[in-house]
Amino acid sequence: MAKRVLWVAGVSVLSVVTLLLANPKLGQAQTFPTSDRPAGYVVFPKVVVDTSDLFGQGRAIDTIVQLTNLAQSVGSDDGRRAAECFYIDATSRCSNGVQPGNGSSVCRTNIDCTATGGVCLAQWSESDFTISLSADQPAGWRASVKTDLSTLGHCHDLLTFCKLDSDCVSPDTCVAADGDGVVPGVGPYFVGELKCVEIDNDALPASTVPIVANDLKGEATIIEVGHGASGSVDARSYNAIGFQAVANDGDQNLCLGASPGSTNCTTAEYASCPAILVVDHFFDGAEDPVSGDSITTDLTLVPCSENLTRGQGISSQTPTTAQILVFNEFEQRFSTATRLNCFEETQLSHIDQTAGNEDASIFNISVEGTLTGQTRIRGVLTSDPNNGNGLLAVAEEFHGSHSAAFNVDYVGTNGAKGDVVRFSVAP
Amino acid sequence: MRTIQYVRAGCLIGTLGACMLMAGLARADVTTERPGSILIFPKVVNAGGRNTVIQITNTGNSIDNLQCFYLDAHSDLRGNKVCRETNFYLSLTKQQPTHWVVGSGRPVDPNDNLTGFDPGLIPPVGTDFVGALVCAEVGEDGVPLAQNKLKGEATLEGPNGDVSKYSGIAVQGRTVGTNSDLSLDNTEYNACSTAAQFNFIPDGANDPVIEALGNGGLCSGGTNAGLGCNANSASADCPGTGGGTCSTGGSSVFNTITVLPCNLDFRDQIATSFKLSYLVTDSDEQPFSFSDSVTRQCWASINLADLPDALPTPAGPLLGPYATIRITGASGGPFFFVGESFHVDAVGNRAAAAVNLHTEGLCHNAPDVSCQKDADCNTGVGAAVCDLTAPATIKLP
Repeated sequence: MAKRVLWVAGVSVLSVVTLLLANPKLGQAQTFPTSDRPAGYVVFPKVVVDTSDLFGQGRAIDTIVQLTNLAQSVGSDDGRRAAECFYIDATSRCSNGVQPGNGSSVCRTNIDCTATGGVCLAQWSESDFTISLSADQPAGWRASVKTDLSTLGHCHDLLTFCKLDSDCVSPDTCVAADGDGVVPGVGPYFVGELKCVEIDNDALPASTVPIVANDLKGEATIIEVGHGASGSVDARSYNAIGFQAVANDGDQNLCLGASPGSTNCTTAEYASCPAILVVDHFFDGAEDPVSGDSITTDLTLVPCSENLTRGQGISSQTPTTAQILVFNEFEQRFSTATRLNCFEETQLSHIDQTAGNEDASIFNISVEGTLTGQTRIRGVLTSDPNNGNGLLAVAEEFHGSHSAAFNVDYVGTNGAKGDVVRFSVAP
Repeated sequence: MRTIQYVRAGCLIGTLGACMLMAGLARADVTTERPGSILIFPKVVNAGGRNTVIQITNTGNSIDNLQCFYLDAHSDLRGNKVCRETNFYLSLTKQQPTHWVVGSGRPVDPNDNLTGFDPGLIPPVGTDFVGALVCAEVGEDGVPLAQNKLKGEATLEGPNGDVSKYSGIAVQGRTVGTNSDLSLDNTEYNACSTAAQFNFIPDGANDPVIEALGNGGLCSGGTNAGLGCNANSASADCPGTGGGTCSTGGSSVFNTITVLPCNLDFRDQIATSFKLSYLVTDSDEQPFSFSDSVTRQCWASINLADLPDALPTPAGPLLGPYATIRITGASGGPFFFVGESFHVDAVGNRAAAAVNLHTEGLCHNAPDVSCQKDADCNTGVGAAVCDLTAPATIKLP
């Protein structure tokens, strides 16, 4: 009897193993998020727009988002894919409304609101849209302006978008594009992120159903320009962070890893968030060894868990504490911590010091004494089973008036808990 | 009672086995965001007003010894690539970051102005250097060792203070042998990806942000005639009698893709010969495929402007403002890649932005089809198999 039970158990286990082996979706999926592979859920942690140079910095900013469907037309699959995307507006606003200086209520710090005695309050709101891309189709748009992918045809002069031949200067004609959907413009000033999840194109428009597919790749290019006699150009690019799908129950909870005690995510649907982010950087205030320019680094941190259901505000997001270790080139170690609600964009020296006290920061060359360092960031786990406290980041490095962006490294995953992205869509 | 224990033990072993199999099956190829044992910087430049800052970090808690190689791929006076290697050794203490400028190297001198532990004597490269940097973890005896603790970045600087940055490509080690041939075969080390994908604005097309907000044109009159302007601000940018007119369409974008073969022979100094195949898809979803007609040697920086089928109309076939290109090896592959886009306004102000390319596989049964998993290859012809990686060897001296 004992042997029989053992035999049955062994066969059952072997069957499970065989099933796992036979399922290529499980077997070949990434357990980490990646920024160099196509995925089913992609995150652009930083999208920034300031087309009117609201704070008089001598340059306008816009972000070009590029998103490509890598699915191809194979057999009965026409390769068309759809994505549900969410802009998350984290633009801060003055507590006392519109400021007389620039006619806007948006702000970066309290200083932007002090003329009328206000304070700068963090905000959070989401807006969603649906797009559909044909096989292998690359799409792109300027974040600031509305882009109708169905009218993203192009005259042969490559300067004019068109839908009809009459939209072009005769005898030029219009070549229609095959995309579908309207990407809303975020307006003249925006700081926030963009997230897109691959959904079942055939179920549209009746329902929005995430699927097990990994066909999306994306890049964001932040471009700063000035015009006139003192014109300038600066550009920096990073890859969207992708979470590869491994399974999906089709509901509107995206499970980034499994959380056994959670309400909706006992089984993983996508790759888990990393446990630790690793950033190599120059210490703030370091002198560029080539150009001699002063270098600073901005870090944008966003949580893996997010509540993207409509009508939610900043209070519906769960705060995460980030524990931070810093190493310099002498192997000396420092630590600090910061807390973020939903979106944190900060110069490194402002993580542990206020503006004006940068020289006292552990991210500053004045303290560290070496040009470069390594920073390790870990989201501190809480007891909430519906929040894995995972973090994502992108870094931007400023060398004088020039800049570069780059993706950070990952170490480990939180095996005990996954993250959950809840969403709903516009009716 | 013993039966239950047997069952529990069986289930436990089975579960562990399943986990191990799952782990073993997880996609294994090169990565730009996890530490590895071999670190590749495909694009290193000290020429044409550009220089490169290398940052490497030991992310582990024990010392990490590295053997590094510069691959010099500049062209000699006859136009042939020299394909020459120079090697040096580094030693990083636990969690230590380090850096150097390739044009000046880094001496071992505790009294110099380069603060931090000097990781070893790093030679400078020549003033005409274009090529790559490869670093591999080794033991104190110089024998290859897989600790998977290396990460790094390269910052391309200049001209005129411009900067762009990409992450070093890490190859994770598995069960490393003791000989000096590093087999990137998913046994000793993870293997290289079979294909890479790059999104781009076609060369020669306008930059949409510069056209809308920057110097997309030139003043045609007034006191600022010939200077940069934006058509939406023509009266302000082009003041004076006869001014107020600003042209459009003066901005542009151009792109380069740098290619380093995964097969590298530093021991016998034999340059890898290779050819590439390309598949460009434009916004109109039209595919254009073509291959290199000439054989390339050891390293290449490819201007997309030199690929006729990657150009926008009327110079080429591409329609629409955005395109994507898939690159695979026709021979000599697989490869490491880095992409760089240059955004230029009407006056010539220029900014570069580098990115790591996305990687993917090719269907074994349909090599024209890219894939992420076997199921992507259900073409109805042959068994659906996705070749995510291809083997290669790096031969150390």
